[in-house]
Amino acid sequence: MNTNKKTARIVGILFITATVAGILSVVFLRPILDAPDYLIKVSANENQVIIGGLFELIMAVACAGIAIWLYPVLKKHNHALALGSVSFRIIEAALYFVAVTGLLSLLTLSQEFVKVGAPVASNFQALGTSLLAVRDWAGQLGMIAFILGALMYYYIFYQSKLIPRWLSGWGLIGVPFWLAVSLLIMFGSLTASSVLATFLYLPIAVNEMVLAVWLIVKGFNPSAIASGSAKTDINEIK
Amino acid sequence: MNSDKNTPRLLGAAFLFVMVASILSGLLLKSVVGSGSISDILVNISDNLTLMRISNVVGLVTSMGIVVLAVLLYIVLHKQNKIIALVALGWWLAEAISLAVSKIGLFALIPLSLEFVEAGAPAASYFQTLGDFLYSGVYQQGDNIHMLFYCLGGILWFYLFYRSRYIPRVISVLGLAIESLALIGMVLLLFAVSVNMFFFYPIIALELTIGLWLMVKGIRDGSEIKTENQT
Repeated sequence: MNTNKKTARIVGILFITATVAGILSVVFLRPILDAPDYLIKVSANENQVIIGGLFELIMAVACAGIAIWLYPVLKKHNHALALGSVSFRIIEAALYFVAVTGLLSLLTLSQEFVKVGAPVASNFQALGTSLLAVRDWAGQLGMIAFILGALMYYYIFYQSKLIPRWLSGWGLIGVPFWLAVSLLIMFGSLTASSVLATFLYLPIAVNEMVLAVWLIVKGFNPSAIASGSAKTDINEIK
Repeated sequence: MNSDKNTPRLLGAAFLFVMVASILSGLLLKSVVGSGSISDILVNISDNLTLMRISNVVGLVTSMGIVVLAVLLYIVLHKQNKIIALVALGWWLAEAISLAVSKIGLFALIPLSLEFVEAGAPAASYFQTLGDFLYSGVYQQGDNIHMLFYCLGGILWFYLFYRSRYIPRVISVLGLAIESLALIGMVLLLFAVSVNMFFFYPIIALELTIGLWLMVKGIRDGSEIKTENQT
């Protein structure tokens, strides 16, 4: 199989892996973490929490992997933006790791809380609130890094025509919606689990799946690949 | 992209942008938290939530600006020595991550401060311990570690500038000296030694100088550039 076709397939699979792992982590964790008695629920559902955390780690690795695998193809068209997208998506992964650390620390706290008889209005609640806040904010900051990284590779896709422009243009339009959600959450005007946030996340979530299928089935546009290679050759001669 | 004449000017603008954003974020935070005890800090945060959030967002913009700056430096300097440039890029990515983590500590202080005030701001309670952990621990130590990574990366970038002669060597040598001085200051701080701020103030003058120089003059054309292939 030609290298570029293989790269496109791997990137497509990574997009699907990141999305599926992200959705599964929400399915496993949200009912527990959103409950008013979350400290008791976290302790009672240890395995579910650990599995949710593992899915978040898989998502983090897949997110960084997307940009790393795309880098050799994209750098031929725009070295700075290709490197920028790798850097931002690695930072995104690092921040998701911090979020998982917050989750596992919450698990330890909840077990201690239950061990001492789940006292009402104790320091455990304040510590739990802070660990949840650390986890949520790490996730939010990871989203910002994702937005910047994604904007960079969608721009290169658009300029180079490596994928059809309707698909890259859709990505360029959809990503700012995520930025709007993140800013609204940071200023306390919206919660990540609200209907509006889910609605605004949708264009990019769907776009990523269409992009994944496109890359697996069709791959990159061969004439855009050839023009990228020609550009690199000219730069090397210079 | 490497041959793009606008890249060095963009790099100069990025230096200035990151410096201004970093100072602005620090000033905004100082205006919110003040200089009292941790109880005062918690009450001040709950009284100035919007300003606190603006300070955090500007801090986050600084963190993301550092990534853009590091990538532009790599693009401009990697032909001098790819391995050193990659290591410097890695240090500055670590710097951006540490800064973002330190800001997570500040974001997490917001719900804690609200709970503290709601509980009637009790003296000598677990709120102070937790507030201290988030402010002096996560935020301030994260900030110190970000400076450590900044100095380590900065020394390598200025070494590559020195090799390249892209900018006057006097600026590169000053850069090496100022970053090394700040690195010594940071190491002393990590060992809880009291350090005068004059270890760090020259960084502002340095970033202003290199930012303006690159924006106005760009990099020297036809300079004696030693590329990896030649060495």
